[in-house]
Amino acid sequence: MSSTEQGTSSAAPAEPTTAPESAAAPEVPESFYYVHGKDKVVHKVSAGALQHSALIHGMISNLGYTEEQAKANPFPFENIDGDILQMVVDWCNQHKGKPTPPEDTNLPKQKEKLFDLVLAVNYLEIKELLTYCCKQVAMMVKGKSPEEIREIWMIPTDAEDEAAEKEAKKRAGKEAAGETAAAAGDAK
Amino acid sequence: MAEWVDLPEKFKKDVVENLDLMSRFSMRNVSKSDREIVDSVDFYVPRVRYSVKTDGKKCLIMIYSGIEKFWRIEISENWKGNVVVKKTQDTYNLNEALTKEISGTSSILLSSSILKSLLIQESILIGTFELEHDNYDLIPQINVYDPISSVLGAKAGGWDNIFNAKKLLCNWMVHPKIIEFYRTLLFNSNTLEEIAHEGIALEPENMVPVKILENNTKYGNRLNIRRSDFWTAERPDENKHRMIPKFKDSDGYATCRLVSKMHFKLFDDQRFPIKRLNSKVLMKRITVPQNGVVARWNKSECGVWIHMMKMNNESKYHDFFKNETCGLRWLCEKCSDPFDYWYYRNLPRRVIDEAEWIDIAYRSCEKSPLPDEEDLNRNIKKLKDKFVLENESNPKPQKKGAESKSRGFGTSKNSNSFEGTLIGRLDGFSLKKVGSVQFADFEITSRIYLLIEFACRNHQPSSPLGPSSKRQKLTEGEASTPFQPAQLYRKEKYNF
Repeated sequence: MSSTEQGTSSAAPAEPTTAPESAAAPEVPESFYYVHGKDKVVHKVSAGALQHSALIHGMISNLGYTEEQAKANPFPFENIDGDILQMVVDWCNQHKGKPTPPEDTNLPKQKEKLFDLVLAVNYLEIKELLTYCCKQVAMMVKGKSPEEIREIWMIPTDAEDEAAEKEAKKRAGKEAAGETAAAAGDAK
Repeated sequence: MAEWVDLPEKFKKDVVENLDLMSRFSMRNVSKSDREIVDSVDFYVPRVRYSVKTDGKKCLIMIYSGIEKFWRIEISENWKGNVVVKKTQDTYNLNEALTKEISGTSSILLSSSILKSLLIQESILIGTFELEHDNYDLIPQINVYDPISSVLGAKAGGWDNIFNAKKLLCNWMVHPKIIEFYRTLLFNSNTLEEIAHEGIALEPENMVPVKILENNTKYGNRLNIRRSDFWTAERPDENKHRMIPKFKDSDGYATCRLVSKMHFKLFDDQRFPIKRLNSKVLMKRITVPQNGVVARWNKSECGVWIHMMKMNNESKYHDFFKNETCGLRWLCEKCSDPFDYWYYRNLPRRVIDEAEWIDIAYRSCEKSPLPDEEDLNRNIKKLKDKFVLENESNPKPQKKGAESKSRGFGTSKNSNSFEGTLIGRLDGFSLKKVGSVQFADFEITSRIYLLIEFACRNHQPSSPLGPSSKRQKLTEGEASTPFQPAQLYRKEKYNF
């Protein structure tokens, strides 16, 4: 059971008459969890905001942390840069419990940041944010020529790809030969 | 720091799904792996219009992506023998076109190459591929087909070199034989659901089509053969003459689709029992056993439509008739696809938007069609005046700026360099040697050919507007009679 479900009840003010059922139920205090990225800076995020991330939501459900345990054990995301994680947390907080609008104009415009965000969001399984990122990435190349797309996204041409592949093979071959020679030397 | 190559493949596919056709085309040419990703993502193009004029010396490619969203490529040959390409996006105004002059090719070959590069991919499905000719004679059409088939289709590049389209639509001038050539060699038979002939009778009464006279014949389980005549004039007294030939020798049915609410009275005037076909449609079934003909008058809140057919064909279409909830097709704003509704509603607007490209409008097919040309020109002039007046009273809002344009469709005028533009980068842009096409090689599916020919026959060589400017006068009495088939057959006026 997640800690949100374990929250203690408190005297909740009655809801407006339009929702009599919910007015009767006691208001559950919001639970918070803690996450940190590569920079080890811990971010406090509400359970409601973390609902956006299928990965974290799954972790919370499986671990059944209490608030104290959650505070003592922040979720580590060592593969995500601190500023990117901050961006994700901000987005989750901003869209907590709200229907997501059709467009989000606050996403980073720079390719480096956007692609890092994509990888983080993809890892954290935040579907709505990934959709926004997807649209933003598509906007970057709308109306561009293949050369311009290559330049913007730093995509190597097929020829460059082949050359790099050959180079890598050559290097691997040399390394393998070196290792064999070293092994033979050891055997002697 | 992440790069494009580091992103997950699924995400890349999602990005490609968000690209328009031209960006997708650019993306496809970035690298081999990106091409594979693009090719794995399906793409739908609602409509493509390919018009060919003056023996292929002038061509027009219109690729529609939505309502008022299109790429327009007009290709012509100048006095130097060079090809001039004018490209615009979402506008017909050639003053905004990117223009380029190219030597060493022809309009027809270049336009075919562009179509091939942009649209022949397994992942691309075209809703309707529309083909227009400006000449109803077979030989000029064969002369145009010859170079087209040297670039496009199975003869030029095998069965991977064909279009995936749901409908092949031709203007009323395209010869049935030519349609059959295109169908068999340029289109994927697995995706093709309909072959149609369309035309519009432009008359100044209305600025939008108000009536469709149509015949449909089912071929096998999948293919529908259709002929549709759009009308901007009501002319209810002429419907009876025009419908009967549409089904009398056919296995299909003819339909008259009437959008005006005034036709409800025609339905109510038929003194036959009413049957409720479904929650939306009331029907009156009128039979003329001595002639073996049945007419099904249908009424819904959208309008009135009448199906007529030989009695022995009725059962074939029984399920379709029973489940039909609106028979107005593209005339109905509420029930038709919004894009199709927009497209057909704006057909008459071509007289002002694309005055040179109105070969879908009927004119006489006689060898000396001068009087009819005059008739058509007079109608066009009147319609034009109406549209000009409308534009003046309701000016269109300014379109978005150049930043929303696709690659190669910007607003810079007379760009003499194609460096960096789409056309300059098209695959297959360079000329290939044109091989000769032996028509004897083509195996014409005789049954389909006959169906197409039937669909076209009633308008070859004359259009629904009639063979001369002095339109055939209806005999006295008939002219004022509304379309009431039951009464007509009782008089045994028509023998089938």
